[in-house]
Amino acid sequence: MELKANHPDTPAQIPLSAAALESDGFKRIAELSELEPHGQFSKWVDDHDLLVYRYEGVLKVLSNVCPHFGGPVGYHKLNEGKFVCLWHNYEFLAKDGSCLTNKHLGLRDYEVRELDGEIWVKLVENTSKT
Amino acid sequence: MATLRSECSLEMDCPKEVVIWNYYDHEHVVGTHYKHYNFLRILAEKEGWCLVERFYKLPIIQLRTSSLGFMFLENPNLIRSIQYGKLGIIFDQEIHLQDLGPDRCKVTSIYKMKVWGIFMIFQGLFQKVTTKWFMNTWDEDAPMRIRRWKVWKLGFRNFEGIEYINHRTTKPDESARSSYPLQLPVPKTPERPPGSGYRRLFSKSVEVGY
Repeated sequence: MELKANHPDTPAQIPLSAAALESDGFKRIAELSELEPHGQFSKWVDDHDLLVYRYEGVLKVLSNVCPHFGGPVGYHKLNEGKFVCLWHNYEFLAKDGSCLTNKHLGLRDYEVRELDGEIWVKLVENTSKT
Repeated sequence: MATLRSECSLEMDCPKEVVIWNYYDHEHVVGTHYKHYNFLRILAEKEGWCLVERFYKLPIIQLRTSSLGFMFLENPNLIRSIQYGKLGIIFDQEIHLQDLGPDRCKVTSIYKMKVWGIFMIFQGLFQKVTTKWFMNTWDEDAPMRIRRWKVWKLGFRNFEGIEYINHRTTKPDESARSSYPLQLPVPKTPERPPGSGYRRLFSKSVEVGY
């Protein structure tokens, strides 16, 4: 069983298991192979549109919903460290989801883990309803 | 004078108000339609009308050209778009919208161009080019409209996003939205610098997709 923690706050020596991830609120959303051939993909999971990609070797997940008008941020392949939303060319840094076009906007990031070739994401961090 | 004419019609899985939003969202032509449009400038705009200059490449004949277009909402079911192009050619487009239910509508686009009678020999080419244009832009607009309707129903707010995503909370059990309120003009990203128009960022891209 491959053990890998991908979140910078998670020490690498803490073992992961599917049961532990589930109890911690993570959900299996895809396989690592889905990153090919572009190094990224987007997918709707429980009404969250997730943009999954590798940045400087680290697996990351951002919201794929552009806060401008809701367009797909990950439609174009990541280029020069930036995503460009298809609809209106809003630019976002892959490093942290911050918006270059409007500094007041940004993309929410998700906690992510890799386990046995699968990608797990925590969709909800605050369990109180809006 | 004679009239070159063609008509194209398709159905959409969204309310007609989302289609109207799409037509009045001028910025998206250099985003969503980056393969066809390279630049646009909004010269004037108020509520249901606008005057826009667009630069684009026509399909089939691959002609790069531009036109000055006046668009207005004649009634809630009809958008009129009159474009004045090169050589003094006036291109008249009617976009008819028909409700087919709460989540569905029909879009019929009628293209007309007045020409000297001898130019009626180009009716076939006119029909080919306009139909190709309609289908090309439809293929790009349809997923945009469907997605816009989807995120809207999930509670999306312009320049904010979706609350339960941003606040990392549980999604509400039921959607509070069942209709799309039309707001014209469509809010825009400020031009930088003012008056400079909107330019596409690139003409080619590796598309990962929706």
